[in-house]
Amino acid sequence: MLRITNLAKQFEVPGGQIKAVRDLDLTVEEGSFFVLLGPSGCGKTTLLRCVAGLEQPEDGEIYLGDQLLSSSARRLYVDPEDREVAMVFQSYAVWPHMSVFENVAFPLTEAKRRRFSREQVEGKVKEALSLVRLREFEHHSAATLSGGQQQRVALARALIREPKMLLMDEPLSNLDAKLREEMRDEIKELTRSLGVTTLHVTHDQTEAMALADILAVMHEGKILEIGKPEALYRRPGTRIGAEFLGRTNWLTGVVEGSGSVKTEIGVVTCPLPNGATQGNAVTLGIRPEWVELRADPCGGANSFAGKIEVRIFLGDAVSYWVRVGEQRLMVKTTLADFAVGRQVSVVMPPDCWVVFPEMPQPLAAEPGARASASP
Amino acid sequence: MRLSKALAPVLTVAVLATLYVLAPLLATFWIAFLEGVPGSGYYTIENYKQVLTDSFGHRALWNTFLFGLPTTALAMGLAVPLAWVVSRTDLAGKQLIVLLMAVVLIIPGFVQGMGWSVLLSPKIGLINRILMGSTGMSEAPFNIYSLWGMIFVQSLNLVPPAFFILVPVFLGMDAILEEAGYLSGANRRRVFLRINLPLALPAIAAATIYVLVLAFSLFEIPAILGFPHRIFVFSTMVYVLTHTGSGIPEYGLAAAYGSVLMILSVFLTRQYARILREGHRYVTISGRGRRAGVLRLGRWRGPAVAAVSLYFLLSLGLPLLTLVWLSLIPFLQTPSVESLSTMSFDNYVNLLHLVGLDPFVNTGLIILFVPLAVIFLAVPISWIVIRTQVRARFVMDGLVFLPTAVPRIVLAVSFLYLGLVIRPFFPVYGSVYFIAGAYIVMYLSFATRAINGAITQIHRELEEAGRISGASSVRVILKVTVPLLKPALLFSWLWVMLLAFREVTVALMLNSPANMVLPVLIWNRWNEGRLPEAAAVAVLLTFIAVLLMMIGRKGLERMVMPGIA
Repeated sequence: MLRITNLAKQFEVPGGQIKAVRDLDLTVEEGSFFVLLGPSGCGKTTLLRCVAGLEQPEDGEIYLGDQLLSSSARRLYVDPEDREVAMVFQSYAVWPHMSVFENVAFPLTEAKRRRFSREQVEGKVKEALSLVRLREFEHHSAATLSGGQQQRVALARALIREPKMLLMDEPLSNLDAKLREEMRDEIKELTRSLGVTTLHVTHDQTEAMALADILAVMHEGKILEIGKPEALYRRPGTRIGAEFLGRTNWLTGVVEGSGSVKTEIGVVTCPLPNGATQGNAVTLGIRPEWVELRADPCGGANSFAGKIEVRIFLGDAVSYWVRVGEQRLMVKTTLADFAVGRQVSVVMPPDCWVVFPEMPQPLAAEPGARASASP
Repeated sequence: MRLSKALAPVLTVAVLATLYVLAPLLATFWIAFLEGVPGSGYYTIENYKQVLTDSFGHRALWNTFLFGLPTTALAMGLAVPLAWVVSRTDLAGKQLIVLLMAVVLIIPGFVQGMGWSVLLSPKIGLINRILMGSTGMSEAPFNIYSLWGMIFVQSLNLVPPAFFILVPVFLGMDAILEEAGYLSGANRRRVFLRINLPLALPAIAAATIYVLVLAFSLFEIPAILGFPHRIFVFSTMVYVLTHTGSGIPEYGLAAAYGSVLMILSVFLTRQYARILREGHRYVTISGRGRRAGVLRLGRWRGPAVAAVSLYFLLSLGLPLLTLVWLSLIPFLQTPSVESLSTMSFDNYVNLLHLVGLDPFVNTGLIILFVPLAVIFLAVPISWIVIRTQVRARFVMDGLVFLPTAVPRIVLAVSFLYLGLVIRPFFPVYGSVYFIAGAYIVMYLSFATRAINGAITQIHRELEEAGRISGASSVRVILKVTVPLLKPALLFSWLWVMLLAFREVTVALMLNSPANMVLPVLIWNRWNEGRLPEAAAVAVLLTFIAVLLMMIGRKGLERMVMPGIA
């Protein structure tokens, strides 16, 4: 449905240029929910706006279906009002001087190609408002709506023209936590039942994993990793990807033999990246929820002595800071409960580790080791 | 957002408007090198030579200094304490004070001049007559037709601009800065001298420059109070040069003088803007600073109230009352039991009969046409400046602001000349639209300033949502931007209408029998010696102006813009 090739976009700022998007390729399949995840400034919103036609890229091509939206080579650029995309903005951009009805009807009444009769418009607006459960607000002034209601108006307005693609720019960021979860699930349900191809941008990893069919992690203008949320979570391909999706404990070490690394806390048995040989420097990571804590001391591989330093009660889980040697590890568990000061055994199974070669520069996408265990 | 081709009409209007504003300003230099009949003159540098050598000009220049500097000092000497007292003490009736200040701002200077003229004219001044009558003096003790008279009235008149510059700055002073002073052990006086005063200095400096520029370039009060005893300053000299009774008016020479004044004025105004900008950064550390505390007046309350009352008495009360008195009697007399019996509303009732319908019609046309035209031109300019990435947009914004830095009298000379030059093609010279055209140049920046600010507050995404929903750029401007601009548009419309209503200088310069407007009518009647009629129209003008201003303030307070994102 959406095909982006070699996209590049930069901005002039006092003191130089910012390359917001760099040589980026992306494909979104029809009917899928595609999420762009990344920190502020990574270029995800810029990318979205290029697809919308609100920014003109310096380089690259964008195809929507078989319509060419923009091409630097062919000097072609289609205005936003002529693209078959719809967008929900971070601020919702609901017009305060119009009623809910007028807001939602706008794409039908004000668009360049207006083909609908008044009855048809009324019918479609009612239908759209029903989809987002706002029928009874039809004639309210848009200025009186709450944040969640405004967002639903924005959604209805976006869906009313049955666009080829729905673009969402962090629409849940301004909602409080509970509403955010509700709307998140509603959006997923709605887009799935309508079969709308969606490109969704967010910096919230939980939201990203919950919504995405396919997830892409962006960093400094490029796509770092792309894949199903579970695969990316369990087996991140890059250190940055691992840090952005969930939390990770990191250790550094030197490869000793095949399958073992000497680290700050001792020798760890773990899978090694391809081509790693004795003496290579590596970085190891393990997620807090895969670290096991046991009351009794136990031997065996990857078992270390530790002491509970901090206990944080999270409601549905408990998080600990455990001191092992010189390091502090974060551990998350729902199974057992330990008091502060307690001595414990910290067990980290070999196949729970991800290992990356240590590179001189801290950035750039590095392929890492993936364990043979399937996600 | 990328500029779409459909925006071409918007861009065209904006560019044409900018050029329209720029033309008369640049023309001043062109005219300065010409001599002879407009349209068939010859080029010469004689005008600039004369500027350098002419003794009349030198005297006028000297007078301008003698007039402008003390005026500025006096005006600032009044404005700073007034602004301080209103923003930082617990004086009662602050709302009223601010309102009265706005009234003084709105009243044409020459109305104040007229009032004081009636009071302190050496021959017929009421106060003089009363004093001479009661003390038996043979000569009038006060003469308003002198440099001191001019300084006195003009400085009263220039307090409001300085006041309105200073008050927001004083109010915006962050409490933390002072409190740190107190907590370091300094007493009130030391805190004032070492903290408050230095912090306020940039704003005071900026206001001083602003008032200085005005004092050097304003026309109304130097005209009313200077002409009778032939005391000329720059602005009145320019008027005289272009309105000589005999021979060809000396447009070239006037333009030469004007160009010098213009350069100086533009330069100083830029400094003013720069200092004010930096001063703002200086005074409030963060945008969310707490307002500095209110000081208790205590035993200073009496003197403060007295001082404020005295100011308004002198700037507003006495001149207006005098004119009201004058408008109610058949000829000028001192108030007494007999003269009170001659009071009547005759001058008002017979007004239409005495002055005719024309001045009202012309004024009506101006206040109808000018604000609409200004808004129609301002919206495209503001939109291009704020919303697009067009490279020339800041130049456009700056150029539109240029006329505010140029003395009105200079602008009028240019317009006068250009009107004559294009007369064969566009016979607009001498018509009321000629005056309207000049007003558009003068007041466009008021509208762009207000609309610039308003567009900035309209979240960009509101317009982007419109375009993504399928509407063209122009349609989005019409359906989304303009409705959300309503308060700013209304505000601009009202202010421009008010300013156009009471403008004297340019209307007088461009005056002809066909385009007589109310302010010029007052001037003419005054110079013809028909004082009660002049007073009646002046009072009427003032009344309507104040009414418009009050409506504007009330209307804006009531207009609540539903939450813009």
